[in-house]
Amino acid sequence: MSEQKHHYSSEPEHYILSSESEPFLERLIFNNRSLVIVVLMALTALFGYGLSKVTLDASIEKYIPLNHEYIQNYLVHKDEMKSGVANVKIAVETTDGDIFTQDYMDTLSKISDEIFFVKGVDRSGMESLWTPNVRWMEVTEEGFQGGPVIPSTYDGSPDSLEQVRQNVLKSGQVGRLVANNFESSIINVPLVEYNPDTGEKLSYATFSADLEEKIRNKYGSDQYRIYITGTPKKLGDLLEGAQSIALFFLAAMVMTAILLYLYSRCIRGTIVPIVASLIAVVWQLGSLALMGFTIDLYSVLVPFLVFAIGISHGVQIINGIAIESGKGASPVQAARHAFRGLYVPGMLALLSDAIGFLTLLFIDIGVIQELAIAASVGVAMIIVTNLVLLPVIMSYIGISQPGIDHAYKASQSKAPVWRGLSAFASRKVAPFPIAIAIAMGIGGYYYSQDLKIGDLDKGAPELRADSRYNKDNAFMVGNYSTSSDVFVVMVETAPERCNAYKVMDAMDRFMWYMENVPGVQSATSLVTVSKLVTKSMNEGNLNWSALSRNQTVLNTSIQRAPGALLNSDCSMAPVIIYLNDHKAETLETVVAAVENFKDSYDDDVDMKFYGYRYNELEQAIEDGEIASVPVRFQLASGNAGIEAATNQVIADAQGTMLIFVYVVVFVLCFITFRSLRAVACILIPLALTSILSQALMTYLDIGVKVATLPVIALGVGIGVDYGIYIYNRLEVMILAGKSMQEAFFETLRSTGKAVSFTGVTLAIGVATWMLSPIKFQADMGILLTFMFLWNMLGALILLPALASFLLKPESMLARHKKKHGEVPPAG
Amino acid sequence: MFSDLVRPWTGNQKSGLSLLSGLFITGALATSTGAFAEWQDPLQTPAMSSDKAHQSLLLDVTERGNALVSVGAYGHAIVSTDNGFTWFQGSVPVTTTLTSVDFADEKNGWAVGHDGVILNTADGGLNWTKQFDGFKANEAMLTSARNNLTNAEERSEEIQETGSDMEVEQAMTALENAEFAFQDAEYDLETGSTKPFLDVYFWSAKEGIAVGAYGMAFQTMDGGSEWFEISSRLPNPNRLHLNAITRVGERSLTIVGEMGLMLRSDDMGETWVGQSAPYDGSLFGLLDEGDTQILFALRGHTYRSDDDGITWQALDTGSEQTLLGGFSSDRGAMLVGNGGSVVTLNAQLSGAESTIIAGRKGAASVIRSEAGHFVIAGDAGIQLVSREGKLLQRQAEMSEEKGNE
Repeated sequence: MSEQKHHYSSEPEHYILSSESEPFLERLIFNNRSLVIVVLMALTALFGYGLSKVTLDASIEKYIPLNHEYIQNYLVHKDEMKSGVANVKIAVETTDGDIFTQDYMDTLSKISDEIFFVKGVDRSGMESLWTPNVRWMEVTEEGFQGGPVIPSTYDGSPDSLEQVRQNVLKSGQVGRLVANNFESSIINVPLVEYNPDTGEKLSYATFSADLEEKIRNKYGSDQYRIYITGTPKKLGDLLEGAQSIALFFLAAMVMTAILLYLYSRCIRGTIVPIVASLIAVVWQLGSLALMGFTIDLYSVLVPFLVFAIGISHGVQIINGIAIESGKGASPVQAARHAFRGLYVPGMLALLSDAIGFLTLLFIDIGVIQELAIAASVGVAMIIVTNLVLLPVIMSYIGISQPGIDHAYKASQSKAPVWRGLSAFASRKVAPFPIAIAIAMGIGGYYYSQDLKIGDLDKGAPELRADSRYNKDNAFMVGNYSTSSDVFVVMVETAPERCNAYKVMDAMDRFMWYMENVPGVQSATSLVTVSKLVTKSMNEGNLNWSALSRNQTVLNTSIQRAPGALLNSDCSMAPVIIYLNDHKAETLETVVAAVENFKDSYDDDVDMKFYGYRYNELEQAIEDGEIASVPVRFQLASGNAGIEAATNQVIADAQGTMLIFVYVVVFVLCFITFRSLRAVACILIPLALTSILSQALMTYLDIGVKVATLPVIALGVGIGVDYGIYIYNRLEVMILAGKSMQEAFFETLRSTGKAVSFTGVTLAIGVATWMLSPIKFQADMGILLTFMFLWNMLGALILLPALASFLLKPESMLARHKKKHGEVPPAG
Repeated sequence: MFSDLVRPWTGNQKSGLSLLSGLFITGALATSTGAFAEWQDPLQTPAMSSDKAHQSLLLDVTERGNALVSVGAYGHAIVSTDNGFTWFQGSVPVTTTLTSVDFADEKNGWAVGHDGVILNTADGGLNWTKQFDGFKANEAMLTSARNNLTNAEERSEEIQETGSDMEVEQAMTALENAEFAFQDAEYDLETGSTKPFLDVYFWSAKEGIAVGAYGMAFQTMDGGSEWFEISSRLPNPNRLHLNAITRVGERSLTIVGEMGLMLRSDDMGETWVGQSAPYDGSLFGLLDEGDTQILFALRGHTYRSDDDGITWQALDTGSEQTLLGGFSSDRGAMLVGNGGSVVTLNAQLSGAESTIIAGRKGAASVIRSEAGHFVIAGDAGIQLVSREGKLLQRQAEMSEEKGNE
């Protein structure tokens, strides 16, 4: 250890901050320790107050790319199409025979009544076999005949049940309100967005819980099964799932504490990093809440990251303090030396994390941008809490004797594992990991060519395939003529013209065109209603299921069309296209087909004509300003339409984001280490991890989506920490004159030990997400766990192997000498 | 201009799209403006070629030698030479819904439909040309209505001087009807509102009649080069819909329509007389088999006549569904209609049995194939069923091939 005797009086080969022997920052902090504590505690109190302002927000807007053209088009009509979104369907299935039994009808009636009084239900719009708005209709010699499906004379007798059966068949509700197999029927429940009594926005979480409690738990049994679907229910389930995140956080914290204790064998060395990291979490949550940010399903994960990253840096400090204390330094001295040795790589690592996260701002989706801000702020907080507060606290309380002994023993041991690992820094062994890495890189690259954009699973992709919601959804799709993947094209024209023959005919042709596109099941719109009603008005004769050119007939035919199929001034009518699935290819094919049709049918006329009132347009047509009623097809709405837009945004942003995050770490590493070779040693393992994680996504059928794109940036941002710490120490050891392998051995048993601990800790923290009921959180957990572990292995194996070929210890020493004389570097 | 709409997906199909090319395509789409086209009238727009033509609404199926031809929505005309298992699509110059098709021989056929369109094929259904449409029909109807009005006016003036009270009243009613007809014809012509043809029948490659909504009827004597208006010949003052026209015996034709309308011509369309029907709801068709006639109508009403339509006996079909199409041979008959309703009649055309086709899709027309199964056209497109009304294991599909003639 003689060569390390002088290193307190030397300084590292870094230029970010001071080049003085006792850096300015160190003096500033450690000469005013009590002041630092007081100020930081005051801040903690302030941000702790901010915690009370944290709110969970489930607004849908944040999850979609608001500035995308499709979404902009959709937002123009958002209020007019609201009715379709806030809607839940409740299916009641009998496991015994069919629905035409007295018991089933009674049960359905009770459930129907119960739902009527659930808060948030739009009572007038409710539909079930028991509501009077569900009617049957028939053409007779005298004209139309009809009535409610369950007649007022219903008494539960076999005769009246048979009557109900006949009425159901005549009602056209089979496949809609009554299952194709007659074993279940649906209660369709539209919601009001605002509570009429209080004016408050309806809480989907409460509503969803109400349904579970008052409907599913109360009426669900072996004989009657309840299935509930619809966007409000899905959001409710997601919010419920998000609450389990708190449990995962607790679990991660306990596991981290145990690992930390095993690692440090010191209660103080265990509690202080945890407390410091928790303070960072408090600061992050509190400051963002004070700034007015809300928590969503993505940013709810940030505290994990902040905590885990905080711990990993805290460990480095504790490790440094223990080693220094083992050498006999006082608590203050040990803390100062640990700070001095680690604040540069620590700050560099945290800065690259923070800036790396900020590259997520390139993705124009609210949740990702807020995730970027939250994570960056959180990481910036760690600089203060774990690089400043933590060593200052430790300078007061010091590390316990068992901890010091443990660290000392470790530093004196032969450390066979580290000895073995250090072989990777020798030129004899190094070619193997390098060759393997190249093979994996190439293999991974080709394999990841199949990586898909978007969500690949059926049903609600946010939730697991075997979640209750998705099971319910599968039941609905399987037993009713409906698809959960809906692509909506908005057909725009001038006011009061959506029922003009030209507009209707264009829609009709568009629907047939789309029905011929692979992946499209069917399309429906105002035209469907018009044809159906025209046919009905002509005694149900199929020959009449066509659009009439007679405007009076057309008007009559859509008089009773559902409000969801046209807007209030009849200037827009949506075409609803049902898809097989929402895979990226399907969406791309559909979008391309719509664009193709648009090219042939959109009227290239001045925008002003779309605003003309009826008479103005008549005049304009008469004057020859415009040939006919203008029409254009606007993409897109519906879950599939929004997803198509999201996919496009993600496909566009993916490359940019990846380039920027690598540019950021490149620049920061280069500024710090002033050597392209050093940068290569740090970045090549990272790049390998990026490639392999894409291959893993391909293998696990996880698409690039809102949830997984940030992981790429997070993975690179956090992964670079390991490389920076390892390289920093390795360089110090090389400059101290050690051989490459010896330098790496020394690196491993100090920093390397901390890095491997960190890798495992971080991985455990995010691995708990895999248990989340929310699918995208689980996906993020899998990928981050993989990236953290693999980055750790990269830094411990590939980095030294590369270093053994890339680094030139002689020239490094020469350069160092030229600058600083014979003084060995700090470390 | 619309050729690029044909088979829409072939040009855009992408598989295994990599991220970069996804980016590229998005960009390309945003910038592709291309030649700008606009909506064209369906009468001017060729039918899109479709793999799903056999699954969309089809309204009539007929035989042509040993081949089958079916027509329906979006200008679809499809032909099968293997008893309805595989179909190929003929090229049609309109996107209008076609309601009826009839062949005079193996090659020459006519299809009629909405917008008063009449199409002709000379090659058995491969290629179709437009002979007539609703705008021409409107002009002819207006001319005819004007003539009728003039005649009615002259007659009423004449009668008022010489006729009895009853004759005067009749003449006044006729004048009133003629005025309404004229006003409606004017309205249709002005607003471009058209009427659909509902049935067509050709008894030679030259001579045929097309009938349709609101009493519209046109005849040709030269294979469709010229179509002339004959509605004024029909005793149908209220301009009721004419749902079907059927050959009865050697030289007779029967038209059935709305509100129990039944018209008969015994000189192949020259003169028509009203007949009394056994039912005053809408009649949808008539089958003529040997000495027996079967009449089918709204809500499952079915009647049988053994004396050329003078007296009728109700047949109990056990179905309350409206029957829209039928087919008969010496082995019996099948009637089809709304809600997938199928009524089969035995060889004596007396006993009837009723069933429902699985899926309950409305059926508009039926024919028996050479292979013995029945081919049904309707809401679900082509459906192949057994004599008992059960769906066959193998169902229809589309083919790119033009088949073996």
